Amino acid sequence: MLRTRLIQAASSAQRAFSTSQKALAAKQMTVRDALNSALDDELARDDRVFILGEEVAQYDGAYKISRGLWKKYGDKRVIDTPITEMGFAGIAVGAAMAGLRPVCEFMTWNFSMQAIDHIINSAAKTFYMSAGAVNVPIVFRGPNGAASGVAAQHSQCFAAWYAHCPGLKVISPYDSEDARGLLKAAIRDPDPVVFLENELVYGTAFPVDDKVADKDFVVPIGKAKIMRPGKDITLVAHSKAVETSLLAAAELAKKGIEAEVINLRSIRPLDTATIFASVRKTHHLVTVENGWPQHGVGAEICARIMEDQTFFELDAPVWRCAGVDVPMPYAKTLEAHALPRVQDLVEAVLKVLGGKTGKAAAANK
Amino acid sequence: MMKPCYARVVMKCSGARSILERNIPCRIMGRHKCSCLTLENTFKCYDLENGPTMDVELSKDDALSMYTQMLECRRFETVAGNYYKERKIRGFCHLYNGQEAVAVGMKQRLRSCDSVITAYRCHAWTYLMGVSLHEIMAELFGVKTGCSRGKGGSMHMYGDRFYGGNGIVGAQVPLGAGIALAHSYRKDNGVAVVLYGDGAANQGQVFESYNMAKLWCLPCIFVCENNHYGMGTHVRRASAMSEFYMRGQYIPGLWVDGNQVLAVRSATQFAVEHALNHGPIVLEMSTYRYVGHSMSDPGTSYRSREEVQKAREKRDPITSFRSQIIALCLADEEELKALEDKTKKQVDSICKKASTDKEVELHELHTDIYAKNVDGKIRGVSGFHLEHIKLAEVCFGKPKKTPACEINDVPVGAAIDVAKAKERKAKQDAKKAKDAKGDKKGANSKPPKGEDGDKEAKPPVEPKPAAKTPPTKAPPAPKK
Repeated sequence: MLRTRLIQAASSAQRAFSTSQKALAAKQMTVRDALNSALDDELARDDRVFILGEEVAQYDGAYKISRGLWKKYGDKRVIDTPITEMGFAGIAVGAAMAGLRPVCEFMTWNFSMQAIDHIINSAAKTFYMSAGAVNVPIVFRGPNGAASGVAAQHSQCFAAWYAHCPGLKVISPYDSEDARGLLKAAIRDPDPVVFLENELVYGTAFPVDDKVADKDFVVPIGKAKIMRPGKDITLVAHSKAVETSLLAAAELAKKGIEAEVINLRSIRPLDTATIFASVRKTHHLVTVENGWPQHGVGAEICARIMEDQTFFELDAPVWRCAGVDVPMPYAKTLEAHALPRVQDLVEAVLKVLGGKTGKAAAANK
Repeated sequence: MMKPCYARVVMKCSGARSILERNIPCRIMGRHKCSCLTLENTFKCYDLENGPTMDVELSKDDALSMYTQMLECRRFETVAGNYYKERKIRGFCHLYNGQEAVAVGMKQRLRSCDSVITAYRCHAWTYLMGVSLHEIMAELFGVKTGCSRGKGGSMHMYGDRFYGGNGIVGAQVPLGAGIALAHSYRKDNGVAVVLYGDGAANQGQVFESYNMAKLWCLPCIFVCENNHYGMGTHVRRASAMSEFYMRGQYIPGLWVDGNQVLAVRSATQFAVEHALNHGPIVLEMSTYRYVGHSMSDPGTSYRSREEVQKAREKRDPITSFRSQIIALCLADEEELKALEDKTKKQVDSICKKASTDKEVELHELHTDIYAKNVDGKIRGVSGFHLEHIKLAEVCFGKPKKTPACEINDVPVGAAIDVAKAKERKAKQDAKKAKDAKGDKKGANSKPPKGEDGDKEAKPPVEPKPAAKTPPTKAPPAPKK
């Protein structure tokens, strides 16, 4: 019940800021369909692309992302693996070194820790160590971060972990356009890409332009998107936290505060140009993420803004809203409080703005 | 616990003149082009009906080529060890002394479509897979002409169909199974040879690879180079079961005396056929290393000097092959001695030359991190000021290595402007010099000052006063 309300709120939050009639009549596409169609397009386009992972073939995907692909492409292109992450991730990296283009699925990114040696030491570092002789065009993908009630071992966000390492590209899409365009870009990219999806938005339908359905629709890696323009404060988020930010922005609008919401899309490389341009406009910044705060995405953004001239544009210190620094609990209330909620964000924004109302803020500019 | 078995070779001289069995070297009969011999005690089979052929043929050419390769490997490793002691080589350096027969013997029966991946004791394999000794030694020194341009070091050398050189123990095994998957995917009739040591043989990922290789029938030859010591630990202290060729359980296995290069060669022939037709196979090459695990290990704290000495006397791959060649009348003492001297000199001079090469340049620090960099700048120690440079060509995901001779000096940052200004000045000087000559021939209008940008603008042959746009195509060779 709450979930459908949230979904509706998210969609309306987006629609409210689409100015054209066309947008209202635009197609709806779920993130699941976006990913599925992206995989389908890329499998058709390039013979070297294949998918491997647990339950991707005959089960149609643990989260049904690869539904229908095994039927269409067969055993050679969509491969079911045993439950041996280290083994099959290594096999995928080896196949990529030999010139194929695997898409390696982890059922959730929590299980990638079994295979992290292959992601970092075998995939990320090889191009550099070999001075460009061997590249690894692989995509690791799967749901990342907290789901619902799956408790500590199944709820960790790995954005900061992988974004720490040079040699990798780390992507964290939010909506269908992101998911489809970025997955296609990732598969076409000659470097190893870590693609962090989110299970909770798989079923959410977002309005998409017609151009998104194009076979060659690609969203460039490394560019953030301004989901909602604003002038009082910038909210920077990735993945599920973008939804929270949009909802918070809608709440703040009622108070007369116009928040600019940036959807990072890529964690590595980080699109600081967009963030800085926004901060030059709004002079206030709050970063939002569902992962843990220490050494996280928000921490990186804080550090980078301090190292840049844009620091002098800030009227207040940058604030981070992140997941509570505890392993994820199971109980529903505890879980809800372990992640930044809309009211947490609104409070943080009001504090950063110094409790001024929108009008006062506008008058001061 | 199996003790290594020594092979006894029964030699049959079947040269052009005689088919009699002899047990003495037949110098009287003259040199042979090709001889046959029967191997003994070199193979043990697991889950295999037939093993590799024990009757092998050895031609003079093959014999000398294998002998030379083993000598080169041995000499190279020795020289590398000496340079390491002189501090010219740093970090890790794992030497292959004593194990040469495995690499040389296997390579004899691998075809150009086959791939190889191994662990960090990789210098010999790198050489046999086509990288020159010069490039390998240069890589150890960390100089520009190294096969990884100084960025990989001892453990990260790559070549055509040779995927390293891997530092993490056991990681190369799933990678190798993945390479076998690529061969099977493309149906290109190639096999993947995946080498690992007795220490790595207990890694979980090895068994995960066995499982998937068998499930998917991958053309994969798993080769355990059992030198009986995982760093400082003897196999009996590390492995509950040290018959590594049986560890594949549901995968057929073959034990090979890894110090008999002819046995290794025969086993490889068998294994390649098996992998192509029946799926994966596990080979165990029983061998021995004379040196320590790496240069920081003297190799004597966990084994006696007598043991090492005994291995050198009884089982050395090079000296035993030498005796075989002589006994088979394929070459004589003088010929082999000359070959040994020549090889030693050659390897020494190549390594010496590599030591004089130029040190890798600073811009390599931020070169080729990504095949396609989408980031703005790379962060240096204190700020985002390093440009990502791309030297290697990666085309459609198929990498092409930039050969050392084509690597140019690439200026970075402020130096780019300085270099461009220099270039422009040099061109203008050249133009002036030409005009001074050309003035005598006729009135020439001043050549337009080209807006250089990044174009290799050649001075126009016929100056066009009105032209402002620089030539989009490189002009045809100017008449000089």
